[in-house]
Amino acid sequence: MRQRRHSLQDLAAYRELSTEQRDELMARVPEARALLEEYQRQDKALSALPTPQLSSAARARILASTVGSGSAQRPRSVWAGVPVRSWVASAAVVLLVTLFGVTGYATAQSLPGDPLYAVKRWGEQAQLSVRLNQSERDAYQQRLEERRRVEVQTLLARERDGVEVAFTGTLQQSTDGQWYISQVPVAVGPEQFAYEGEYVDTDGVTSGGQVAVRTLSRPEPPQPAQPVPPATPPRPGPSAQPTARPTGKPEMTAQPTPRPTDEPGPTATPTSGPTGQPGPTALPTMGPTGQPGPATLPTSGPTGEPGPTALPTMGPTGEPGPTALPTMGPTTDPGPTGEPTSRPTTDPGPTAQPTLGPTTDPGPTAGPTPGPTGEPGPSRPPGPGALPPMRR
Amino acid sequence: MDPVTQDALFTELYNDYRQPLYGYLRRLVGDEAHAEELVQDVFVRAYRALPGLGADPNYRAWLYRVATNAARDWFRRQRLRRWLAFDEGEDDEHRVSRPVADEGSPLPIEERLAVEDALNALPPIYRAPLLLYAVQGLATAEIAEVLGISRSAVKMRLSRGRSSFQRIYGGDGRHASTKTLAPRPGSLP
Repeated sequence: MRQRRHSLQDLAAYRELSTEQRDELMARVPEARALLEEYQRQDKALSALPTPQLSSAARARILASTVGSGSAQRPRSVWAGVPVRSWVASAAVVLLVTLFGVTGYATAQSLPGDPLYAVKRWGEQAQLSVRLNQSERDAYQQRLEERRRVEVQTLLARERDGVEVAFTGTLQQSTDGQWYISQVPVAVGPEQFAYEGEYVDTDGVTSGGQVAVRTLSRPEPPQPAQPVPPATPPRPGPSAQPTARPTGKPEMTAQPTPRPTDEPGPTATPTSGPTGQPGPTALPTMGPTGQPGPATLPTSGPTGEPGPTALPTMGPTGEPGPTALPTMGPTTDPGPTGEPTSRPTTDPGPTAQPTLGPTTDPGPTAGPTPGPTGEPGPSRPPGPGALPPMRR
Repeated sequence: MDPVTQDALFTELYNDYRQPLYGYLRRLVGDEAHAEELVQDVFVRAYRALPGLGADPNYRAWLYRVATNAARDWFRRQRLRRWLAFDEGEDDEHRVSRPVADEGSPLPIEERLAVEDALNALPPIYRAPLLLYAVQGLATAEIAEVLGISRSAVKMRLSRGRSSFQRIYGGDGRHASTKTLAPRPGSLP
């Protein structure tokens, strides 16, 4: 059966069969002769069909697009004659991929001031825009903020001055008076207004290993419960925060920081109430207009009762601010002595609240004014120079 | 291959094969205008590919292969066009094709139309080898080279194509239909 089918298939191409093969096939397959005649008739009919003639217009087009263009005038590719092989295409692809890879890497590693930095920021914004989930957006936003700080630190490490930067972080101060924004050393001018521990939005220019802050603003914290990272140079204690001592002789200077780290002064003791419990910290404020910060007094004692301490106040213009109410409640619960808190409260806290005026020359009169117990002392108007020395 | 040799060889191939190739494509796609476009495409492709051909090639089989590939691409585009058109009426309209003008054919007009109907009714997979064998006179080895299949596969398709042609055309050479149809849609191997 199979041999018969093959024989009939051979018969379909009968022209290629020899006479002997045809005879043998016809002798073996009875219907082969009729089929052969039919196939011959088909071929005769098909070959008798009129031959379509290619139009002269089509012939002209063909010649015009090939030899008609003229071999001499025909624009030949510069690669004509060059044996273009597949390795050329492969090399081109590898080159392209390498080029894209190098460019992408350079873009990712670019820093503020670099030509590709705008591309990097654009890509980040594009990635941020495609994150529809709010939690993902917040997480990515935090990564971007951390990336900005790392970029600034890299710029400072490479001593690239004069580069405009913008980043966010927590304002802190080291014991030697150096201000930091999330571990980035900054030089804060007297016109800036912020509390230590606040989450601030900054832009400035790199200069001399730190960032000269031009503007300082308070954005909304990305996460309500975001923990405040500790300052880079950890303080030996709450010494940098001027506190009122329970002795009733609070020591307050307009310079909250310049204390030796290994020798905390007497004011290095945390604020404590009558019970000896340390109270919360005091926050130095830097009033841009010389106005003391009115409402960001940290609370300390749970009782809220005023303590015997005095609150040093330093009005920038010599006027005591409304916050110059040193209250120290008899706290029974220790406050976050080591950490500055920026939580504003309307309740005047018991701790000493030094307010820093805009002037840069701390006057000798800028000492704290001890008040009687529970009473705000007649806070002396600070001198015109009641400012913390902000090292630049 | 220098440009002068290329032009000379192409001219020779063009003069020898432009009519057979056009006839093959005309019967294969069933449309005069498309066949002209295709044959132009075939010769442009051939002209560009000439310098890269190996030594002593079978130019005839090579040209028919280029033509078959061009027709295969055309069939693909037609299928896509039909799929995108969503219009059966348009499709039917395009299926009706004019017969080839009678230019001294020995066949009577009715029989010629019947043969063309039967040929156009074949799927391209069978129409191509039958045209190449019966009309263009290629051997099965060449057809195998053109279509990229084995010789036995060529014979098998020839056999099935002849059977289908016989059923449509009729053993006595008469065909009932007088409507000339465009080739059946399908695909080439």
